[in-house]
Amino acid sequence: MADRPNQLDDLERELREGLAARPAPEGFAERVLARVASRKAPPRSHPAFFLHWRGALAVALIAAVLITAGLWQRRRQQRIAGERARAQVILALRITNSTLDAILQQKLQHPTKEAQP
Amino acid sequence: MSTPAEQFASTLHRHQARVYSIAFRILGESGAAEEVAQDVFLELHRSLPRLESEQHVLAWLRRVTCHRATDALRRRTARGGAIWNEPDESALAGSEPSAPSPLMNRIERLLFTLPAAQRTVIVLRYQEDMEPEDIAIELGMPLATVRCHLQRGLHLLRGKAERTLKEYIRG
Repeated sequence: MADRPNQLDDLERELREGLAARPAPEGFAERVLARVASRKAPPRSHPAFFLHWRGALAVALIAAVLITAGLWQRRRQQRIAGERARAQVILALRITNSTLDAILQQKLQHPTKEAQP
Repeated sequence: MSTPAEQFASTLHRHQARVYSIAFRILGESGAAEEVAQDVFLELHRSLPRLESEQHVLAWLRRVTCHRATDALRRRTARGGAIWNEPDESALAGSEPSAPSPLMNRIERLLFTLPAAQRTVIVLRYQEDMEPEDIAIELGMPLATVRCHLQRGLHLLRGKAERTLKEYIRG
Protein backbone atom coordinates (compact mmCIF):
# COMPACT_ATOMS: atom_id res chain seq x y z
CA MET A 1 0.00 0.00 0.00
CA ALA A 2 2.95 2.31 0.62
CA ASP A 3 3.68 2.71 -3.11
CA ARG A 4 0.04 3.34 -4.04
CA PRO A 5 0.26 7.16 -4.22
CA ASN A 6 3.31 6.80 -6.47
CA GLN A 7 1.45 4.34 -8.66
CA LEU A 8 -1.39 6.81 -8.91
CA ASP A 9 1.03 9.62 -9.66
CA ASP A 10 2.66 7.51 -12.36
CA LEU A 11 -0.71 6.64 -13.79
CA GLU A 12 -1.88 10.26 -13.69
CA ARG A 13 1.33 11.40 -15.35
CA GLU A 14 0.93 8.77 -18.05
CA LEU A 15 -2.69 9.81 -18.53
CA ARG A 16 -1.69 13.43 -18.98
CA GLU A 17 0.95 12.49 -21.52
CA GLY A 18 -1.11 9.83 -23.25
CA LEU A 19 -4.24 11.96 -23.50
CA ALA A 20 -2.68 14.86 -25.35
CA ALA A 21 -5.00 16.07 -28.12
CA ARG A 22 -5.07 13.83 -31.18
CA PRO A 23 -4.76 15.66 -34.51
CA ALA A 24 -8.08 15.97 -36.32
CA PRO A 25 -8.41 13.85 -39.49
CA GLU A 26 -6.89 15.20 -42.68
CA GLY A 27 -9.15 17.81 -44.29
CA PHE A 28 -11.45 18.06 -41.27
CA ALA A 29 -11.53 21.88 -41.18
CA GLU A 30 -12.17 22.08 -44.95
CA ARG A 31 -15.11 19.67 -44.65
CA VAL A 32 -16.60 21.73 -41.80
CA LEU A 33 -16.20 24.97 -43.78
CA ALA A 34 -17.80 23.34 -46.83
CA ARG A 35 -20.78 22.25 -44.73
CA VAL A 36 -21.09 25.77 -43.28
CA ALA A 37 -21.05 27.25 -46.80
CA SER A 38 -23.67 24.77 -48.05
CA ARG A 39 -25.94 25.58 -45.11
CA LYS A 40 -25.74 29.34 -45.65
CA ALA A 41 -27.22 29.22 -49.17
CA PRO A 42 -30.62 27.49 -48.75
CA PRO A 43 -32.69 30.29 -47.15
CA ARG A 44 -32.23 32.56 -50.22
CA SER A 45 -33.02 29.78 -52.68
CA HIS A 46 -36.31 28.86 -51.00
CA PRO A 47 -38.95 31.16 -52.51
CA ALA A 48 -41.67 28.60 -51.80
CA PHE A 49 -41.23 29.22 -48.08
CA PHE A 50 -41.60 32.98 -48.54
CA LEU A 51 -44.57 32.58 -50.91
CA HIS A 52 -46.24 30.33 -48.42
CA TRP A 53 -45.45 32.73 -45.60
CA ARG A 54 -46.68 35.76 -47.59
CA GLY A 55 -49.88 33.93 -48.58
CA ALA A 56 -50.61 33.12 -44.96
CA LEU A 57 -50.00 36.76 -44.00
CA ALA A 58 -52.33 38.02 -46.77
CA VAL A 59 -55.10 35.60 -45.72
CA ALA A 60 -54.69 36.69 -42.09
CA LEU A 61 -54.89 40.39 -43.07
CA ILE A 62 -58.02 39.87 -45.22
CA ALA A 63 -59.67 37.89 -42.43
CA ALA A 64 -58.84 40.66 -39.94
CA VAL A 65 -60.31 43.35 -42.27
CA LEU A 66 -63.51 41.32 -42.87
CA ILE A 67 -64.01 40.62 -39.17
CA THR A 68 -63.47 44.31 -38.31
CA ALA A 69 -65.94 45.43 -41.02
CA GLY A 70 -68.54 42.89 -39.83
CA LEU A 71 -68.22 44.05 -36.23
CA TRP A 72 -68.49 47.73 -37.30
CA GLN A 73 -71.64 47.03 -39.38
CA ARG A 74 -73.25 45.11 -36.53
CA ARG A 75 -72.58 47.95 -34.08
CA ARG A 76 -74.01 50.48 -36.56
CA GLN A 77 -77.22 48.48 -36.95
CA GLN A 78 -77.56 48.16 -33.17
CA ARG A 79 -77.08 51.95 -32.78
CA ILE A 80 -79.77 52.74 -35.41
CA ALA A 81 -82.21 50.31 -33.79
CA GLY A 82 -81.51 51.90 -30.40
CA GLU A 83 -82.14 55.42 -31.73
CA ARG A 84 -85.46 54.32 -33.28
CA ALA A 85 -86.60 52.75 -30.02
CA ARG A 86 -85.62 55.92 -28.14
CA ALA A 87 -87.61 58.10 -30.55
CA GLN A 88 -90.66 55.85 -30.14
CA VAL A 89 -90.44 56.00 -26.34
CA ILE A 90 -90.19 59.83 -26.44
CA LEU A 91 -93.21 60.00 -28.77
CA ALA A 92 -95.21 57.73 -26.46
CA LEU A 93 -94.28 59.87 -23.44
CA ARG A 94 -95.37 63.05 -25.30
CA ILE A 95 -98.76 61.51 -26.21
CA THR A 96 -99.27 60.37 -22.61
CA ASN A 97 -98.30 63.80 -21.35
CA SER A 98 -100.74 65.63 -23.63
CA THR A 99 -103.54 63.17 -22.74
CA LEU A 100 -102.95 63.68 -19.03
CA ASP A 101 -102.91 67.50 -19.58
CA ALA A 102 -106.27 67.32 -21.37
CA ILE A 103 -107.79 65.25 -18.54
CA LEU A 104 -106.47 67.70 -15.94
CA GLN A 105 -107.94 70.70 -17.82
CA GLN A 106 -111.29 68.95 -18.08
CA LYS A 107 -111.32 68.26 -14.32
CA LEU A 108 -110.47 71.86 -13.50
CA GLN A 109 -113.29 73.25 -15.70
CA HIS A 110 -115.92 70.77 -14.48
CA PRO A 111 -115.12 69.87 -10.90
CA THR A 112 -116.87 66.70 -9.69
CA LYS A 113 -119.43 66.48 -6.88
CA GLU A 114 -116.99 64.94 -4.39
CA ALA A 115 -114.86 68.06 -4.65
CA GLN A 116 -117.82 70.34 -3.60
CA PRO A 117 -118.28 71.07 0.20
CA MET B 1 -10.85 43.60 -37.00
CA SER B 2 -11.60 40.15 -38.49
CA THR B 3 -14.89 39.20 -40.10
CA PRO B 4 -17.21 36.61 -38.44
CA ALA B 5 -16.18 34.06 -41.10
CA GLU B 6 -12.50 34.62 -40.33
CA GLN B 7 -13.20 34.39 -36.60
CA PHE B 8 -15.00 31.09 -37.11
CA ALA B 9 -12.22 29.66 -39.30
CA SER B 10 -9.62 30.69 -36.73
CA THR B 11 -11.62 29.08 -33.88
CA LEU B 12 -12.10 25.95 -35.98
CA HIS B 13 -8.38 25.57 -36.68
CA ARG B 14 -7.47 26.31 -33.06
CA HIS B 15 -9.87 23.82 -31.46
CA GLN B 16 -10.40 21.07 -34.05
CA ALA B 17 -7.93 18.64 -32.44
CA ARG B 18 -9.38 19.20 -28.98
CA VAL B 19 -13.01 18.67 -30.09
CA TYR B 20 -12.16 15.65 -32.24
CA SER B 21 -10.09 14.10 -29.42
CA ILE B 22 -12.88 14.47 -26.85
CA ALA B 23 -15.42 12.95 -29.27
CA PHE B 24 -13.06 10.12 -30.30
CA ARG B 25 -12.18 9.21 -26.72
CA ILE B 26 -15.83 9.15 -25.64
CA LEU B 27 -17.07 7.27 -28.73
CA GLY B 28 -14.07 5.05 -29.46
CA GLU B 29 -14.60 5.32 -33.21
CA SER B 30 -13.05 7.81 -35.61
CA GLY B 31 -15.96 8.03 -38.10
CA ALA B 32 -18.56 8.76 -35.43
CA ALA B 33 -16.13 11.13 -33.70
CA GLU B 34 -15.64 13.16 -36.88
CA GLU B 35 -19.39 13.32 -37.43
CA VAL B 36 -19.96 14.59 -33.88
CA ALA B 37 -17.05 17.06 -34.14
CA GLN B 38 -18.39 18.46 -37.44
CA ASP B 39 -21.88 18.87 -35.92
CA VAL B 40 -20.38 20.65 -32.92
CA PHE B 41 -18.58 23.16 -35.16
CA LEU B 42 -21.71 23.73 -37.26
CA GLU B 43 -23.57 24.49 -34.05
CA LEU B 44 -20.70 26.75 -32.98
CA HIS B 45 -21.06 28.65 -36.27
CA ARG B 46 -24.62 29.56 -35.29
CA SER B 47 -23.75 30.31 -31.66
CA LEU B 48 -20.43 32.11 -32.09
CA PRO B 49 -21.90 35.66 -32.18
CA ARG B 50 -23.40 35.05 -28.72
CA LEU B 51 -20.14 33.78 -27.18
CA GLU B 52 -18.32 36.69 -25.62
CA SER B 53 -14.79 35.44 -24.88
CA GLU B 54 -12.27 32.72 -25.72
CA GLN B 55 -12.95 31.07 -22.34
CA HIS B 56 -16.65 31.09 -23.13
CA VAL B 57 -15.99 29.46 -26.53
CA LEU B 58 -13.74 26.82 -24.96
CA ALA B 59 -16.25 25.95 -22.22
CA TRP B 60 -19.05 25.85 -24.83
CA LEU B 61 -17.03 23.50 -27.08
CA ARG B 62 -16.20 21.10 -24.25
CA ARG B 63 -19.77 20.99 -22.95
CA VAL B 64 -21.45 20.57 -26.33
CA THR B 65 -18.92 17.98 -27.54
CA CYS B 66 -19.42 15.86 -24.40
CA HIS B 67 -23.20 16.06 -24.72
CA ARG B 68 -23.28 15.30 -28.46
CA ALA B 69 -20.86 12.39 -28.06
CA THR B 70 -22.87 10.99 -25.15
CA ASP B 71 -26.07 11.33 -27.21
CA ALA B 72 -24.39 9.47 -30.09
CA LEU B 73 -23.36 6.71 -27.67
CA ARG B 74 -26.96 6.45 -26.40
CA ARG B 75 -28.28 6.21 -29.96
CA ARG B 76 -25.74 3.49 -30.69
CA THR B 77 -26.80 1.65 -27.53
CA ALA B 78 -30.47 1.98 -28.51
CA ARG B 79 -29.64 0.40 -31.89
CA GLY B 80 -28.22 -2.62 -30.08
CA GLY B 81 -24.64 -1.62 -29.31
CA ALA B 82 -22.88 -2.52 -26.09
CA ILE B 83 -24.20 -0.69 -23.01
CA TRP B 84 -20.80 0.58 -21.94
CA ASN B 85 -19.32 0.72 -25.41
CA GLU B 86 -16.32 -1.51 -25.03
CA PRO B 87 -14.83 -1.67 -28.53
CA ASP B 88 -13.15 -4.86 -29.54
CA GLU B 89 -9.45 -4.09 -29.25
CA SER B 90 -8.51 -6.12 -32.30
CA ALA B 91 -11.11 -4.30 -34.38
CA LEU B 92 -9.88 -1.01 -32.95
CA ALA B 93 -6.31 -1.82 -33.91
CA GLY B 94 -7.36 -2.67 -37.44
CA SER B 95 -9.84 0.08 -38.30
CA GLU B 96 -8.95 3.18 -36.29
CA PRO B 97 -6.18 5.58 -37.26
CA SER B 98 -3.12 4.84 -35.16
CA ALA B 99 -2.29 7.21 -32.31
CA PRO B 100 0.63 9.61 -32.77
CA SER B 101 2.58 7.81 -30.00
CA PRO B 102 2.64 4.26 -28.60
CA LEU B 103 1.83 5.64 -25.13
CA MET B 104 -1.29 7.39 -26.46
CA ASN B 105 -2.30 4.19 -28.21
CA ARG B 106 -2.01 2.17 -24.99
CA ILE B 107 -3.76 4.78 -22.85
CA GLU B 108 -6.64 5.04 -25.31
CA ARG B 109 -7.01 1.27 -25.43
CA LEU B 110 -7.21 1.21 -21.63
CA LEU B 111 -9.64 4.14 -21.66
CA PHE B 112 -12.00 2.42 -24.09
CA THR B 113 -12.54 -0.39 -21.59
CA LEU B 114 -14.08 2.02 -19.05
CA PRO B 115 -17.78 2.87 -18.77
CA ALA B 116 -18.71 5.96 -20.80
CA ALA B 117 -19.34 8.28 -17.83
CA GLN B 118 -15.96 7.47 -16.28
CA ARG B 119 -14.28 7.83 -19.66
CA THR B 120 -15.81 11.29 -20.18
CA VAL B 121 -14.74 12.54 -16.77
CA ILE B 122 -11.19 11.17 -17.20
CA VAL B 123 -10.85 12.75 -20.65
CA LEU B 124 -11.88 16.15 -19.26
CA ARG B 125 -9.60 15.75 -16.24
CA TYR B 126 -6.45 14.61 -18.04
CA GLN B 127 -6.82 15.74 -21.66
CA GLU B 128 -8.36 19.11 -20.82
CA ASP B 129 -6.64 19.46 -17.43
CA MET B 130 -9.90 20.51 -15.79
CA GLU B 131 -10.56 20.46 -12.04
CA PRO B 132 -13.38 18.21 -10.77
CA GLU B 133 -15.39 21.32 -9.80
CA ASP B 134 -15.20 22.63 -13.38
CA ILE B 135 -16.08 19.20 -14.83
CA ALA B 136 -19.15 19.09 -12.57
CA ILE B 137 -20.26 22.49 -13.89
CA GLU B 138 -19.59 21.62 -17.54
CA LEU B 139 -21.40 18.27 -17.40
CA GLY B 140 -24.16 19.43 -15.04
CA MET B 141 -23.26 16.64 -12.61
CA PRO B 142 -22.99 16.80 -8.81
CA LEU B 143 -19.37 17.21 -7.71
CA ALA B 144 -19.57 13.99 -5.66
CA THR B 145 -20.58 12.06 -8.79
CA VAL B 146 -17.64 13.49 -10.74
CA ARG B 147 -15.22 12.57 -7.93
CA CYS B 148 -16.74 9.09 -7.75
CA HIS B 149 -16.36 8.55 -11.53
CA LEU B 150 -12.77 9.78 -11.34
CA GLN B 151 -11.84 7.52 -8.42
CA ARG B 152 -13.54 4.45 -9.89
CA GLY B 153 -12.11 5.14 -13.34
CA LEU B 154 -8.59 5.54 -11.98
CA HIS B 155 -9.01 2.41 -9.86
CA LEU B 156 -10.05 0.38 -12.90
CA LEU B 157 -7.29 1.87 -15.02
CA ARG B 158 -4.70 1.18 -12.35
CA GLY B 159 -5.75 -2.47 -12.25
CA LYS B 160 -5.49 -2.76 -16.03
CA ALA B 161 -2.33 -0.67 -16.19
CA GLU B 162 -0.60 -2.94 -13.71
CA ARG B 163 -0.87 -5.64 -16.33
CA THR B 164 -0.08 -3.60 -19.41
CA LEU B 165 1.21 -0.08 -18.79
CA LYS B 166 4.00 -1.07 -16.39
CA GLU B 167 5.39 -3.47 -18.95
CA TYR B 168 5.42 -0.64 -21.45
CA ILE B 169 7.03 1.86 -19.06
CA ARG B 170 9.73 -0.59 -17.94
CA GLY B 171 10.17 -2.02 -21.40
